[in-house]
Amino acid sequence: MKISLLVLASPYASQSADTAWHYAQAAAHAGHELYRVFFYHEAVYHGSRLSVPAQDEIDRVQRWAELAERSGAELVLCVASALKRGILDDTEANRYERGAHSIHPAFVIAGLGQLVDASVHSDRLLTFGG
Amino acid sequence: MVSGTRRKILLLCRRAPYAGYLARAGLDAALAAAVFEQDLTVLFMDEGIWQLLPDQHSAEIECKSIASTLDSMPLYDIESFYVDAESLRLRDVDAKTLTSKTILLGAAELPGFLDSFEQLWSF
Repeated sequence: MKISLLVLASPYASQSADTAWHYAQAAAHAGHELYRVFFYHEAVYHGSRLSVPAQDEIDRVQRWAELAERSGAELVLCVASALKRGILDDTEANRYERGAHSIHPAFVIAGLGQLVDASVHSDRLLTFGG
Repeated sequence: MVSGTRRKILLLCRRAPYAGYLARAGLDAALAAAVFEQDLTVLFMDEGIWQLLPDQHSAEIECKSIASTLDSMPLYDIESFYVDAESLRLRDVDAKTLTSKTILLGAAELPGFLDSFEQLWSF
């Protein structure tokens, strides 16, 4: 089955985002195709390359990146949510004249159209709330 | 970008209008789905029913108005909103006071209603 996820929760504010990751991991392991994970609202903090978790904590950014690498899932950050929270790629950093980009290379920035596209092209779209 | 199948989607709005940004995020997702010509229906339940109350003076808390976004929905062919009657009853809100055109759903109708959609987007 082709599956996409809509993740709304910040990586450190609730367990919801962890549940999303474990679900994605299990789905990929069971042989399902992960089409896209759309990070919206506070969940865009998952895409920060500047995040430095404590040594005795799980690196939640890195483990999404590794899951994407293994499964082929696309990791998309909602552009409106990302920009206002300071998660910018090179293009946006140049456009808005900010000194640096902050997006982890495993993620891309795109509009809500990519959520709709995930909905259309997946058998299931699961929301993990904020 | 988005082509092919037209999904029958239910947007479930369960958040109070100004307790955080999720209510707004849900409505933005609804507009995107409508722009890309999906078959979208909106259901308000739990704290989400407060989004439908009139006289929201959101400028006083420096927020954009949820009510005016709801008012603009007909432009996107989202003509009416479904509301969970039990959520209204528990909060002692009279359906007559709600702003937009609403259709009440009773507890008995709700499971079948939810089942009639291909996808739930839950905010």
